[in-house]
Amino acid sequence: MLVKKEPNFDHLTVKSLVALAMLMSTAFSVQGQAVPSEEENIPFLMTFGNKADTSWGDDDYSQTFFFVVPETYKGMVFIRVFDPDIGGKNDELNGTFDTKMQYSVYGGKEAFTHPDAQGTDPTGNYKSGTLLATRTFGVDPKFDNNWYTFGPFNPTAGELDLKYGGYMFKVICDGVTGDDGNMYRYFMSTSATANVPIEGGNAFSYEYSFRMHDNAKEVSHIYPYVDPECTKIRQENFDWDDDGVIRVTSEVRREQFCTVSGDNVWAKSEFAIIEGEKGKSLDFQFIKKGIRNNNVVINVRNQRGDLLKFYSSPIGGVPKYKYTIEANRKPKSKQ
Amino acid sequence: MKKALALLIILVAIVALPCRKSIAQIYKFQQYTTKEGLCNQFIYSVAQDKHGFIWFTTGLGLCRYDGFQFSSPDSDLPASNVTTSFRDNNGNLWFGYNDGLTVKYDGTEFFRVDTSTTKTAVTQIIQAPDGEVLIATQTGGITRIGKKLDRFTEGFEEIMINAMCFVGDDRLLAGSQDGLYLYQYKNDRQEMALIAGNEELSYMTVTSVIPKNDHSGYWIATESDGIFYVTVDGNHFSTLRLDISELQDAQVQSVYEDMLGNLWISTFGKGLYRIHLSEEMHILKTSVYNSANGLGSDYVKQVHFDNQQNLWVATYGHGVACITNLAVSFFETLNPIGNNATAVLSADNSEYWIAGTGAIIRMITKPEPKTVVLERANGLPNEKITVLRTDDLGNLWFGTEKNGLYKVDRDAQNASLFYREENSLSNAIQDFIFADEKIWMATRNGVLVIDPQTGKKTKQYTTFDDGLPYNNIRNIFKDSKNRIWVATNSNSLLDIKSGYRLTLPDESETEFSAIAEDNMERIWAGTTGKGVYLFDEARDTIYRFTSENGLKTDYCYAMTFDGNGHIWIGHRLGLTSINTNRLTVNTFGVDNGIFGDVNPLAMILNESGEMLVGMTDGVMMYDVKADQTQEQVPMLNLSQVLINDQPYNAYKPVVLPYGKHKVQFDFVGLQYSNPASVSYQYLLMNYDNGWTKLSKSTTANYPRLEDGDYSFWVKACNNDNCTEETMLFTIKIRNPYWKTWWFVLLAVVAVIGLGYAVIAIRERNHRIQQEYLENELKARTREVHKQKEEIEIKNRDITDSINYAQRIQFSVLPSTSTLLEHSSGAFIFYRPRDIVSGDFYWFEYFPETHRLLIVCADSTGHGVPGAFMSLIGTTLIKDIALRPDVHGPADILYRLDENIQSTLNQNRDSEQANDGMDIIVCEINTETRFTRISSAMRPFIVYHKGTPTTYKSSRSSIGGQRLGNKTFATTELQLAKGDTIYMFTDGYTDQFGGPSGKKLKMTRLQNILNDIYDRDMDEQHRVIKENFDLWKGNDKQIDDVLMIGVKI
Repeated sequence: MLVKKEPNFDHLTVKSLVALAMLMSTAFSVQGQAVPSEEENIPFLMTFGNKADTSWGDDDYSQTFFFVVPETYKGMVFIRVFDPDIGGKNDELNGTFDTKMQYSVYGGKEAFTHPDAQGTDPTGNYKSGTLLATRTFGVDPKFDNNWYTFGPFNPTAGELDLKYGGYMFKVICDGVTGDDGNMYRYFMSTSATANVPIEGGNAFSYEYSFRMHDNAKEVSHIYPYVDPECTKIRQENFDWDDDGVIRVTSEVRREQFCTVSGDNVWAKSEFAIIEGEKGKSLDFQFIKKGIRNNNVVINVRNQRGDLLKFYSSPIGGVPKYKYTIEANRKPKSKQ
Repeated sequence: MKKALALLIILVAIVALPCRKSIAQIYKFQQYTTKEGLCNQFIYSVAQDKHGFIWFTTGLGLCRYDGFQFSSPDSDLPASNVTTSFRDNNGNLWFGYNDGLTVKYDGTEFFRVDTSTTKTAVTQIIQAPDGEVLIATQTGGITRIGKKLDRFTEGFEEIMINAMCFVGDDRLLAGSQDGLYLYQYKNDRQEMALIAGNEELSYMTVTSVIPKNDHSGYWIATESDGIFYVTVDGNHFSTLRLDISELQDAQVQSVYEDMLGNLWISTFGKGLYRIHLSEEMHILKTSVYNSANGLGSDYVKQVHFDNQQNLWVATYGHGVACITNLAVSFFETLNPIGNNATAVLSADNSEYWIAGTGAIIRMITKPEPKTVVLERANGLPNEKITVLRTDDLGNLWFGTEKNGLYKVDRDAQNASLFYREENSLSNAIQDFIFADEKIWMATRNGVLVIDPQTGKKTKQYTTFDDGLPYNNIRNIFKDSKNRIWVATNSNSLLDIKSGYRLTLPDESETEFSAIAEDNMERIWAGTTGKGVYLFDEARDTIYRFTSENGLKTDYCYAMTFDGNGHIWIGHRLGLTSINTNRLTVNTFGVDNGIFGDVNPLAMILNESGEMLVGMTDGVMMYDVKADQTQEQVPMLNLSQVLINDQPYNAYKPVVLPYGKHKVQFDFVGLQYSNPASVSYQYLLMNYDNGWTKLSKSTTANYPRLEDGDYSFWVKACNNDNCTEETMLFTIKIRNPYWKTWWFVLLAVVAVIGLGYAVIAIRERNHRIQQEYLENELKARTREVHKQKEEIEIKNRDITDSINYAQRIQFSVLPSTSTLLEHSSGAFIFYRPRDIVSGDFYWFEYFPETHRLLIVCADSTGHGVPGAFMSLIGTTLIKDIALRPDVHGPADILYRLDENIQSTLNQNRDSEQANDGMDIIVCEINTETRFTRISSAMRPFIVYHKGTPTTYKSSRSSIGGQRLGNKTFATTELQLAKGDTIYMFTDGYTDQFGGPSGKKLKMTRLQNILNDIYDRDMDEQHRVIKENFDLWKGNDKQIDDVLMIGVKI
C-alpha cells in the first residue's frame, strides 16, 4: 500500500527561510536591484586592495556588476553603494586601513558588449564604455555603514542592449591601493536618498566575489542562469578554505556537490545539465562549516566556455527542487 | 520658584511664538518637459544658433525650440546622448555625442565631422584663438579641426578630459578626472605636450574650466571640492578657492559667469547657485534656485543666457527650465494671511512687511533671516489692512478697511489704535501719507489731516466746503514739489493744498485710483476703466494709455515708479510697465508666473531698488538692479516651408518646375520672454498687392502659385520694437518652355528663318521670274528694237513724207505780201501743232471789185488729217471765191459747207466722220473800207477807232453732221483807217499754260490786244508770238494756232 509521503524539508532550507525573514529587517529590498539581493543571503560584496595577498580571498582586486534599466523607464537612475569607504565595522582590516577603493560607473557604447567587459579578470579594456561617474574612497567615516549615491544617470546613458530589454550600466569596484578588504553592497534606485527599485530592473555579474556569513547556519546562494543551449557546466571557486560544501540544486536536481577550493587556490568541477534546468537558474548554496571572515570567488561556465551570469534576482525565480513521491519508502509500523 | 519658571516659559513662548521659519522666495520658472514636446527629460546643454533658435542636447538627440514648440532636426542624426554643445565665432553650433560623433550645424545643414577613430564620449568642444575647433573626448585625446583634422593622443593616455580652455594662443588648460593640467603646442603646433599640473587640484574631478570674463584668470569647477579661481603665469598656477559653504557636498557640474560677473554654479542634488562676487572675490550674495523655490529640479547640468538674457537651465531628469527675468521672484505660502497680500512695505532689502487680513508678516533678511508675524495677539484687528507706512522714527503705521488707523511701536511689536471716529466712512482708510508733519488720510469721507503727536484731527477735506470733487479718496500722493494729490472721482487730479488741478481734456468724470511720479517730475494717474493718464505739465500735454495701445487692462489698482525709467501699473492677473522715455508698453501676466490680482495700492519701491507688489496669491518682488533683460527686436525665422505638403529646407532658395504649386510658410519672431506678444506682417513679392495687416498669425498660405520669381518677406513687432522688413525665402517656379528665353529665341530665330526662307524662296522665284522676264524682255527688246528700227524707218519715211507734205501745204498757203500790199499792215501768227496743220489761211485781192478776201480757218483735227482738210478747204474756198456768183462771205460759207459735205460724202453716208472746219471769211473793200465778215463757229475782234468789239460767230460749223438748217450770219462794218481786224482759231485761246496751267482764254487775248492794237503790226506779231510762247511755257501745244491781224 502506498502512503503519501509528506515533504521532508531539508533543515537547511528551513534555515534559509529563517535567514530570509531575518534579512527582511535589514535595508534590503526584495527586488533584484539590490546586490547582493535578499534571495542570495550574502552579507557583502568583497574587494580587497591591490596590495593584499590573494589568500585573503580576492583573486584580482576588482569586481564588476552590470545593472539593467528597462528601456521603458524614463526617470532618473541612481546607483547607490553601501559602506563604500574603508574602515569601520564591516571592512576587513589588514594592518591599518590604508586602502583606497575606486568605484566607477560606465555606460555608453561597449560598456557591456566589449568582450573584455564580460570576463572574470580586470584585463584588457574591461573599463570599456563611457565613464559616467567615479569616486575613490579611503577612510571616510561619513560613508561608513552608510550609503553613497552615484547619479543621477540618464537611462539612455547606458548601453542599449535589446537582448536584455534595456540599458546596461557597468559598475566596477577596484582596490587601487592598500591591502584591506572592502565590504560593500549596491542598490539601483530611482531616488538619491532611498532604495526605491526600478521596476523591471536587474543586476548580474560573471564572477561573484563575496563575503560569507560567519554564522555557519547561514546559507548563501548564488543563482547562475543556464542558457537553453547549455549542456554542461563547470564551476570554479577560489579560496573557499574548505569551509564546508557548495551544493547545487534546481527544480529538477536534488543536489549536486561541487569541488571546493582550499586556501588561496582554485578548484573546479563539472556536471551535466539536466533538461529541466535549461533556461532557468541553478541554486548554488554555500554551506559553511564556520570559518570567520571567509571570502570566496566563484564563476561558472558552460560547455563552450561562456560564463554564466549570476542574476541578483534569479531568472525564473528562486529554483526549488520539486520532490516526487518515493514509492519504496516503507511506512513506519504501528506499535 | 516654580511660578517664576512658569512665567519665564510663558514669556519665552510669547516672544518665540510669533517667530516662524523664513518664507521662501519663489521664482516662476517656465518648465518644459516631454509633456510640452521636449525630446527627453535629461538635458546636457543649451545653445542658441545664429538664427536665434534655442537648441537642447538631450539623452535622445537634439531638440530645437522656437518659443512655441519643440522639434527635432529632420536629418539622419542619431537620437542618442548628445553630451555637449558649442557655438563658434561664426555662429556655427557644434554638438558632441556620447559615442564620439561630432556634428557641426551652420544654421542650415548638419555636417558630420570625421572622428571615426574616436569612439569615446565627446566631453567638450572649444575654439582656439586662431579659429580652429578642438574636440575633447573622454579617453581619446583631442581632435583638432582646422585646415585638416589632427588628433592629439600622446600625453592624454592617462587623462580623461572633462573640460578645457585655451591659455593664450598655444597653451591649453585641461580639466580631468584627477586634476587640472596645462598643455602646450610643440613642434609647430603638431604636438601637444603636458607641461604642468596644478598640485592644489590634484585628484580632484574637474568638471568645468572657463575663462573669467575679464580674461584675468580662469574659473575651475570641481565635482566635490568646490570652485577655484586659477591664474597661469608661464607654467605656474596660482589658485584661490572660493569659500562657498553652500556647495559642501554638492556635486558641481558646471560653472558659468554672466555678463554682470555673477557665477552660476550647476549642481546635482542642490540645484543652481548664483554667486555675486566683489572685485576682490568676496562673496556678496548667494542665491539658490532649486525644487523648493520654483526651479523644479535639484539636478542642474548647465545654464545658458540667450541673446535676450533669458536664463535657460538644463536639468537632468526634469527637462528645461526657463526664466525670462530673474529679477522677478515671488513670496508665497504667506501664513497666516493666506497669500492675499493687501499691503506691502519695505525700506530696503533687509526687511519686508506684508499685510493681509488680521496679520502682518515681517520678513527680516539681515543680519539673520527670520520672520515675525503680528496678529490679534499683537493687537491687530481682525480686518483687512489696506496700507502700511513707517514714520521717520521707524514706527509702523497701518490703515484698515473699516477700523481706522493703527500704530505699531517698533520695539514693542504691539499694535494700538491711533485714530478712529464715530463716522464709519472716516474709518475706512484707503491710503495715508506723512506730509508737513501731519498724517494725511485718504478715506471714504474725504481727506483727514491728523496730528501724529496728539492723534487729533486738525482738518478734514470734503466735498462740502473744501472743493473736493468726491469724498471717496482712493489714493493720496505727495510729489517732489510737495503737492498732495488725491485720486477720486473727478475730471481732474487735485492738489488738495493749493487747489491746483490737472484736468482731462474732455473733462469727463473719471475714477482715478492711483498716482505716481516719474523721474521727469511728471504725474501719472491710473483709473478704473479708462486706463492711465500722463500729465506732462512742462509740455502742457496729456497722454493716455489704454488696452488698445498695449495696457494690460484699463482697470488700474496700483502704480509706482521703479527708479529705472518705468512706471508700473497693477491690474487683475498682471502688470503693465511703461517706459517713461519712449512711452512704450510691456505687459506681464501668466506667462511670467503672475496668476493673481494686484491689490489696491499694494505696490512699493524700496531703497534697494526692489519693487514689491501685493497680490491675491502672494507678493511679487522685482529687483530692478538685477534686471538683465534687454529689449530687442524678435529674430525673424522661417520655421517651416511646405511646398505641395512636403517640407523643404527653410534656408535654401527653391527652384520648382513649371506648374501650380501650393506653398505654406510658417514663420516665427523669436522672443522667448513673451512669444505671444509678437505680431507679424508678411508679403509675397510679385504675388501679394501689399503687406498684410498686423496680426498674430504665423502662417502664410498660397494655394496656387504659378510660374514666376517670388520672395517672401516678413516683419515682426513686439511691445517695444519692430524688425526691418526681412526677406526670408525665395521661390522660383520655372516658366513653361514656351516662356523660356531659349524657346522665345528659338521661335524668333525660327520665325526669322522662316521669313528668310520665304523671302529667299520668293526672291529665288522672283529671280527666276526676273530672269525669265529679262530674257523675255531682252527678246522683246530685241523685237522692240527691231520694230523700233522698223518704226523709225517708217517714221522717218512718214516724217519725211509729212515734211514734204508740209512743204506742199506751205506752198499752198498764200504769201503774206498780198495781205500787206492791200492793208496798212498785217501779221499772220501760224503755228502748226504737228508738222502739218489743220489750220489754214487764204486771202485774195480782187482788184476789179477792190475786195480783199481773207479766210482764217480751223479744220477738224490737226496733223495730217487736218492738213488734208486744209487742202480741201483751201481748194474749195479758192474755187468758190472765184466764182462770179458769190455774194459775200456768208455765201462763201454756205457754198463751202455744201461742197465739204459733198466732197466728204457727208450728206449721204452717216457713218462718215464729222470732219469740217470752223472758218472766218472777211471781205474788206479797200476803197470804202466797208467790211463784211462771216464766221462759222469762230469769234473775231475788231478795233474800230480804238474801241474793241468781239463779234460772236454763227453756231454752225462748215461740214460735219447737219443738224437742221445752218445759218451763217454776216457782220457788216464800216471801218476806218487804222482799224484792226483780228481773226484767230481756237488754238491760241485754248492753249494751256501760265502759272496755274490754265487755258489762255479770250479774256487774256483781249487784254493782249488791248495793249497792242495800236502798235505796228510787226510789233503786234512779235507780241502775239511772245505771249503765246510765254503762256505755253513747257506745256505741249495742244492745237494748231492761227491768228491773223489786219489793219485797215
